[in-house]
Amino acid sequence: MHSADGLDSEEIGKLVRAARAGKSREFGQLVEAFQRPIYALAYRMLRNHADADDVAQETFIRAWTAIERYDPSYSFLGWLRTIATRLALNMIEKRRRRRTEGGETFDLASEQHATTAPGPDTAVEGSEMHRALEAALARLPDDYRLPLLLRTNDELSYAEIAKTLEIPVGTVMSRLHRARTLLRAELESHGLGASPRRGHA
Amino acid sequence: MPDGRHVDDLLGAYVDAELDAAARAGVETHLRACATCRRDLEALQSLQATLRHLEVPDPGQGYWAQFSPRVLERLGDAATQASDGGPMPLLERLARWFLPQGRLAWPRFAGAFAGVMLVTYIGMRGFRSDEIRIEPAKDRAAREPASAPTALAPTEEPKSAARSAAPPAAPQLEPKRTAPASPEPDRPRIRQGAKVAKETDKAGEGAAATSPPPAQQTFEKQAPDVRPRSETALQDLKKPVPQVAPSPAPSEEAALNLTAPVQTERSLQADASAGPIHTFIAAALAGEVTTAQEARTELAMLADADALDLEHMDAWLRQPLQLRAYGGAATGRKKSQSSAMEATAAAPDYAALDALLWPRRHAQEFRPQVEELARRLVRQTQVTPALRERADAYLTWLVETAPDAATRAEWQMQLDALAR
Repeated sequence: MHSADGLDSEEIGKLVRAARAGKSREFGQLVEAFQRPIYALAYRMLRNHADADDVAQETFIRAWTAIERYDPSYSFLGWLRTIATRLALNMIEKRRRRRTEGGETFDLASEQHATTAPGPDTAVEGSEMHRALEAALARLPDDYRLPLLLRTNDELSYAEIAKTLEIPVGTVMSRLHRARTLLRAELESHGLGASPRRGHA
Repeated sequence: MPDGRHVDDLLGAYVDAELDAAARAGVETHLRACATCRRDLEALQSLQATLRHLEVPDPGQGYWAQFSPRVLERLGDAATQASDGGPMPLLERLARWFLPQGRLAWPRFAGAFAGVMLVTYIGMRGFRSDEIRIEPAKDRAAREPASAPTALAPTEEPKSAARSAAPPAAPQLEPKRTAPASPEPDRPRIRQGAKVAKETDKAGEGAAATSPPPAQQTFEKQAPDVRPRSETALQDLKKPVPQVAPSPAPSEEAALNLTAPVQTERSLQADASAGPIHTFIAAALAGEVTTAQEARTELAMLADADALDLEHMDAWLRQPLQLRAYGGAATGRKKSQSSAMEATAAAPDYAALDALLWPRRHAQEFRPQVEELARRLVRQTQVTPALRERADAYLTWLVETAPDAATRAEWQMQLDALAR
């Protein structure tokens, strides 16, 4: 089995060329190589397995469909991330619409609790801090949350985030700043300041 | 809190190692002297650490083992066919992508599209800024002998031909990518005259000779052009665009088409030369999912009603990037369209501009375009709810990023107007 780290850029390039020529087996290898980071990205944005699975699957379907449009001078993973990010955003939007159409108030925090269905190998500790942080994250506007997730969890550079989200680097920086400020304020309002003395490991 | 000396706004970039050496040194100097900022830094670092620990639950080995087989299965016939040799025709992929599985038999769709392409070709002569390539039929008939839909093309042809007696704008065979900077940007890239007549005749003959255009094949060949063209178009979008005075237009066009010559038009022409389907694909597959969903709804609706109005489909497919053409030249001929189609047709410019702008909505270099679109959306009453939402987002951004108070007030006013 391949993993994202298991393929160098040359191998990726070869597989992409094969996939472009319509070879699904090679495309399957690409899927295997990138399924984990893409699923993780989707999960972080959507915070439940079913939606993350949907988006991750759909990302690869789209990638196959649009493979001609992939520019090999950019990172393939970056391209997949862009697709996944948009799909996930779209799903968030749909959820929001459903919710508001249903007359319910939109409360991501409660959604958060309802949807954190841990998978079999879950390593999430259910600490108060984590729950509060996840809830706070969920309440962050997408414009702030996405750069933060891409930076912290996908470890993209500011330039890469700028490219993925199609915003200037300066904006990435200011949004990250804003996101962190908001998060801290949120946590502090719950008496959970993200200080070094918070009681959780 | 920030008194101009504190570095709290730089601490994030500092933690992310995104500061250059000078800035980093500045921050460090300040940190040594300032307890407040040191506390901020610690808080930030611990926040980062906690965020990183928000692990994604691993759905388990079974899930991962099945992940790629599931994807491949959904690629379905696409994959199977591809392994038989060659990539799946782009058009077919598109169809599969848009239409729920089993929703619509492919041959019917293909036939319909062959018809669309033909009608497009013929009807194109009425559009002054259109360019499209249609290649003569070769093996399509052989591949799909005597399927009912393919008959649509020939029957449709004379009607359309009769209708478009206007001075022809020739489809131009132009396989190369458009040069981004044309020395004569305003000259239509459409050749008229003898060549036109010849091309048109040829097409007429082709159709009359019962060979519908091989839609699949054509698209496939064009595929590699799609990206470069789009990029070119987008680059053009970024350029500051000179104000162009509205050209005299038929009243109908004026009514539907507030754009007049929009900044984007010229660049969009570049896309149009790749063929309407490509311009559409480019927009749809770029991740403008809203657009794609609308496409799916539209296409499925038409197919379900078994009222595949080829001309409308043609217009619709062209619409995302063919801003002006549809509003003016085409609307007059639309008689039997569904209400959904009408709704879409009512705001072609906005949908198109929106599809292009939305992913770039926060980029300052697109500000003039965003402003333009926002203004139009505010003025226009017949926008879809989706576009209205977008207008709200655009305006909010314009307010938030206004360079001065007066501008901010102006956009705030527009925003208020939209709310009413």
